[in-house]
Amino acid sequence: MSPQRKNWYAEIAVAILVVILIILSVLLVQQYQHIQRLSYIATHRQSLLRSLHGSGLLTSADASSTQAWMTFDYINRAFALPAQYLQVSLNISDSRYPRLTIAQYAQDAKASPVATLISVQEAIGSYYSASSTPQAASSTPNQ
Amino acid sequence: MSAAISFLLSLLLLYKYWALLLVFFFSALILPLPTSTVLLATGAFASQGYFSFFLSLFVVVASNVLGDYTGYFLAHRYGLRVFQLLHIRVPVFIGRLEIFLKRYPRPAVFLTRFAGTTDVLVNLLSGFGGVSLSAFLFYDILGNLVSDGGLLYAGYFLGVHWQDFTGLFNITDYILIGVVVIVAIYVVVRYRNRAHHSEYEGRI
Repeated sequence: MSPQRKNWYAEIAVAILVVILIILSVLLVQQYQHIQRLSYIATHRQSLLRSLHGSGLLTSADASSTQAWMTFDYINRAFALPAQYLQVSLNISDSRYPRLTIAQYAQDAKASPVATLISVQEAIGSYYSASSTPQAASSTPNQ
Repeated sequence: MSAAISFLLSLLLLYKYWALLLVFFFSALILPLPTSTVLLATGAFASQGYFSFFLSLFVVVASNVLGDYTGYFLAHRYGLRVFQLLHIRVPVFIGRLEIFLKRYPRPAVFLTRFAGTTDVLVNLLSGFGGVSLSAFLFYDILGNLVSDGGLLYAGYFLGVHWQDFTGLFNITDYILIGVVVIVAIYVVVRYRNRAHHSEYEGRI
């Protein structure tokens, strides 16, 4: 293959890459705009800035951020729940608890992962609504 | 979130630092794993007290450097033998990239730590092309410390909101990979043109 032809192929490759980069840059801007539109940034900018520096323990407002890949151990720790609270609330008999993900538990219990996730989120909400002072309720967090 | 990422994050929560070690070692060695997402998640978990920030940083940087060094070592020790055993001539473009790496090892090693999977190729080429081990390790540690530390802190800073930012970081990663590929093409073409030019002048 002649050098001119090789150069031509390289130019084509670079041109394609530049087009891909432009598309990715547009996507990047879209992502940034999407993040800016999120309600928690628009309406709670100050509180967000405060919370951004190491958000610490989560509260019932963050229950919706719970995902099926999360372990019960992590959820207990992040939401400062008593170690056995979710086990009792959801009637979990699996010996691997709390080192068990919601998805694993749902699969073994032949339950829907989405329904199990919703149950966990509701249990977290119930825990906080049952106690008017969440900090007091978390006096014996799972360590 | 994809099933693969969910699986990785579950492993991270179940096996903590062991999972970090394996993920970052194998991603530095050869596997294209979504390490940006894992780093953001680890930082967020650290902000909730589930991980230690500094221990995570240490494990991530150490396993990355170990994976990078393994790639460097294997290419340095066995790279040429593998080509010989397979009766393959070392491709010309590899030779050109080697020349570039020998000339500019510091920026090449340091900057590719920020560009996703391209660091794997630079590790192999550095070992294959005989970039000095001390220069490689120094800029590898420095690059990993800055890039991994930055993402880990971003996760720590974002806390519970980290999942909203994964798209932003992943796209940035792809852009950086694209830039590195363009630079690599430029280097290959430039060195070829220079070689042709010298050949032409030699004939005259």
